[in-house]
Parts: sequence; C-alpha cells; structure tokens
Amino acid sequence: MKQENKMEIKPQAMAIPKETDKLEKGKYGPIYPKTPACYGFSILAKIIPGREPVFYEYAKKIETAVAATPNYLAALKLHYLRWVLFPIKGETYFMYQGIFDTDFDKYTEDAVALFMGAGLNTVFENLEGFPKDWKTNPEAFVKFVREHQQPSFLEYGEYPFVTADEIKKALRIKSALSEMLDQLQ
Amino acid sequence: MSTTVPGLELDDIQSGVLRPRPAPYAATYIALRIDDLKAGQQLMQNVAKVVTSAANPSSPTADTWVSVALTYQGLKALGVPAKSLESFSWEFRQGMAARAKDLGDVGESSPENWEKPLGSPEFHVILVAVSPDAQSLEAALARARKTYEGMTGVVAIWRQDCHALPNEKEPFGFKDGISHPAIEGSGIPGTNPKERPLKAGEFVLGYTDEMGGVQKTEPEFLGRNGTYIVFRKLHQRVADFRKYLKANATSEMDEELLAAKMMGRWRSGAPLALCPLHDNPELGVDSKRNNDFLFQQDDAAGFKTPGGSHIRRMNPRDAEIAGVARIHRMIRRGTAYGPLLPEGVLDDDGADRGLIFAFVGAHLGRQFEFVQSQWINDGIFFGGNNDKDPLVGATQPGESFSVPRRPVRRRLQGMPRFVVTRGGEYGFMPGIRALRWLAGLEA
Repeated sequence: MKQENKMEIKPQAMAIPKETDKLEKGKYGPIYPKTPACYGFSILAKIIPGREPVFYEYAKKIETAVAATPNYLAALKLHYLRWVLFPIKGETYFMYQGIFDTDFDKYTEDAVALFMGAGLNTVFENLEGFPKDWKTNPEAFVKFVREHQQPSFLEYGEYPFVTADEIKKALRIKSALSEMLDQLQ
Repeated sequence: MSTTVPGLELDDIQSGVLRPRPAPYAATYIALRIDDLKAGQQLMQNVAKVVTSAANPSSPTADTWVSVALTYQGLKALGVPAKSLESFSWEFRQGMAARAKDLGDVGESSPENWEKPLGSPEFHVILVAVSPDAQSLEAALARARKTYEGMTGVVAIWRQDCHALPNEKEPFGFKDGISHPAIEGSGIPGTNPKERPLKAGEFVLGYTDEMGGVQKTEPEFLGRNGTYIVFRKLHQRVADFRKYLKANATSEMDEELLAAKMMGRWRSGAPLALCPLHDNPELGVDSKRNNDFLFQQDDAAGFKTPGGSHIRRMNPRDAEIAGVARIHRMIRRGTAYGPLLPEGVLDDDGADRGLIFAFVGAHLGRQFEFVQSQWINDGIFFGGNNDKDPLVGATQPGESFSVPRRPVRRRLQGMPRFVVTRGGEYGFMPGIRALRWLAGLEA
C-alpha cells in the first residue's frame, strides 16, 4: 500500500486519459488502473419506460435485506454503492455506481454470481437490453454489465488507496483504545 | 459418495481430465510441432487410438494414461477454421506468454527468460504420459511415441521427465497431491468431505457449470467433453528456502512451524487447521482426514492457518473472502522434476529442480488466471493487503508475510522469491470424438 507506515494521509487525484491505447488489453477491453478512489464501476443504462416504481420498491427491499443480514454484500469488498435514476430528454436512465477494493475486471463474474445469489439482479431486468435468459446465460449477464460500464476520467481519494478492511480495522482499534483509556481512569 | 449425473459422457472424456494423479507417480511431457497438415491429422488419428477414456475410473489400469492437448497455435496448424478458433476462450487464444504480466511472470520469470521452446508459437501439441511407476510409464510412453515417430511432418521439440520424490514430497519437502475437488458425475470422490461436489461444467465443456452457464464451441462437438489445461514448469529454489527458514527461526522446531505457517500444512501433510501446534504424521498420510476441514467457524482470523498461507490461498474453502470461492476451484496436479537436494544441504548445487504444475478446468480466466493474479499474487481478497503467496508468489523485494499470533502477529520481512517460472502454455484437451474430427475422419 502506498500509504502504509505513514501517519500523514495525503489526498490524491488521478486523471484517466481518453486514449486507451497505452492501457493493457484484457478480455473485455482496456484495463483501467486502480485509482486513489480504489476500484469501481459505473453502470449506465436506459430503463424500460414506466418501470420507475419497481426501482423504488427494490430500494426498500435492499434496505430490509441489509438490515436483516448486515453481511449481505460483504463479499463484494465494497466501500459504497449508489443507485441513481435520472432523466435525459424525457426518458429515464439508471446509474449504478460502486467503489470497492477488488479489480472489477477480474471480479465481474463474482459480482454477477453475487448479484444472482443476493437477488440484486432483479432490478437489472427493468433495463433495456438486459438478457432475458440471464439465469442460464451468465456470459450474457457479464457482457451486459461490461457493455454498460463507463470508465471515469477523473478520480479522487481523500485517503487514497485505503481498503475498506483497513478502515474497519482502524475504527476497531480506535474503539478499543478508547475503551482502554476509559478503563485507566 | 459421488453422485452420477446422467449424460456425463465419460467414455468420450480423456482419462487424464477428472482424476487426481496417481501416488506415487512417474510422468513425461512431450511437446510436438506440426509442420504439415496431413501429418498433423495422422497424428490426431493415431493419438485418438492411444488416449484412454474416463470410463471405468476404478479399473486397475485407470492410473496409467496418455493424454493429448493442443495449443491455440496447434489448432491453427491442424487447419481448424477461423470461426471455430474464435469460439475458444479468450485467454487460450492469447497463450500463456502473452498473459505473462497478469500471471506475475515478470523479471526473471518473464517469457524472454523461459526455457526454449516454451512460450513459442511452434509449441503445438503436448502429450502427457502418467503412471504409478517407471515401468508402466515406459509402456505408456512407447504407445505415445508410436503416434508420431517416423512421421516427417511432426517433430518432437521438448521433453520433461518427472518422478515422485521419496515420501510423495515436492522439492521443498512438503507432502503433495493431497487436495482434489469432487466433481458431479465423475465417479471419483473428492478429498474434502465438507465440500459439495462441483458441477461438471466447471471442468468439462458442454455441461452446466456453477454459474448456470455452459461452455460451447463452434461446432459444438469440437469442445464437448474437452477441457482447458495449463502446464507450467516452475523452478524451486530449495536451498534459498531452507536458508530463509534457518535465518528467520529461533530453533529447528520453529523452522518447522514457520514452514507450516507458509504452507498451511506441516511437511507431513497434516493441516494446521486440525493440528495447529504440533505435527501429526499419522494425520498427514490419512487421506480420509487430511483434507477434511473448513476455516470460517473456528479460524476466521487465521490464527491456525494464516489467510496468506499457500493452501488457504489456493482454496479458501468457506473463509470470508472477496467474491465466490466456488467459481474459482480447479484441478491441480504437481509432478516433480530434477534431483532431490539432500536433506540438510543449505547451498545451492546448481541443479534445476522443481515442479511441473498442471491445471484442468473449463474456465482459464475465472479459474487459473484469477487464482494466479488475485489469490497467489495479491492479498486484498482476504483482507491482507498486497502480500503474495509466501511459497509460490511472484514476490518483489521488500514484501512480507504475516502470521497471525496472540498477542501480536509475527511478520516475516524481506521475503525472497522461491519459485521462478521457466515457461508453460495453455492447451485444449479435446474429447475423443473431437480428436477424430481434428484428424479429418468425422464431420
């Protein structure tokens, strides 16, 4: 880790050039580097007209599922997920953005397996072009995700390259230290 | 007990695909170059008669086999049409040398330093003969040689002999060949009773896999009952490994503990998960018990088996990790080459020794390459930062290995690289009917 063994935490930004010819080529196209904001994806797609209410119902469902099982999404090694609906010329689009610690290029199939297992797929069924046979055709699901992933052109990290595991450990240490100091009173 | 999946066509699957290698063993790898299409087709025709199928897994002769696999360049040399070639997996089409950066084959392990002709486009066919002893290997080899000897358009360009070291140990001194996954319909039990058998499609093309998909080629029967293989020649720096243990341990007992923490097993094969404090040689050789364990419930933090140890990286079992472990399982087989470095010797004698690593699976990308890049050469998946596998990782200067311990962890600094890649290739091991199609006999 770039910041390891240093008390100073120095914010960093990274510009990602439009030209991809210098990037290594992977199975799904150019492989984007890890940035100060870790790895991530931004999946953008048009929703099937009239389906907005399904997205809001889905939001409640996920809220309930995570409350009941807090580790529901742990295997994705996430920092944040954001789901956004937004209009372009009177039509509704969907953005699904995730920040996490593993390389999405390597973990696309894991993500799809987890979406399928955790019921996260259901909302994708309301997107235009989503393969109807996704349950028996994981390759088509992967392809859809890859085709709708848009790379960032700039990313910023206030605490660059730090993993969610490290943040959680630091918070636990702080809490333990605080408890220890209380006991010394 | 393994379940039988109706329709798994064992009589068309090469016998080397689904089973663990025999123990003890002797094995030979032969690489061939096809210079002439007709000769190549004749070779396929001959080979189809020599290769045995996976039917009758419990027959007394099932442990001796000859297998054949083709590289992407080999399929091209056999005149396979472009549309068919494109239907094979992306990683296979690139070849191992082109994937070097992702695999950690950099620096002294990079393809320009590989043993010739490994990684070159003239590497077309690989014949593998495996058997429980040198005598039956010789018989298998004689059958293998007959398939190409005397042909002008097929040339043998490389050979590697492998043999079991005493006590079935690999060159570093650990018992090898312990773990083998259970596969639905194979008729061969897995070694971990706690692991649910994996779908046949994880290992054979044309069947449903763990994600619900089916790998297919164009035409479909070309891929059906075939699988992808990887072989890698891995040089092991045995003297360096012994010296490192000595320099970083407080006693001979501590050397053994350190070695066990790096592997996740004592040299006897006994897993730290079942005997964390002392070796248990009887457990080590007991194939009913030596792989019967999980991690999550009583060792989530790795106080017994470190998260960064070799066996926990190669198969995290039920441990909490990034992603889904079951879609990254694979068949692995190691066969040792080169002379044993006598016990106690700490100076390198200059001999080339190591392991031929073999992989079998239907998904080169999400199985072999994923494990190589994410589990061996990175540690984020288990919450361990960028540290690599202490034994086989592409370790860079300054990297370390952490052993969880109470009250404070033990941290090994300045880990050297103990294993260097000498070369390797990706292959496709066709079903027996597909071999006849490649021979031009079946349309």
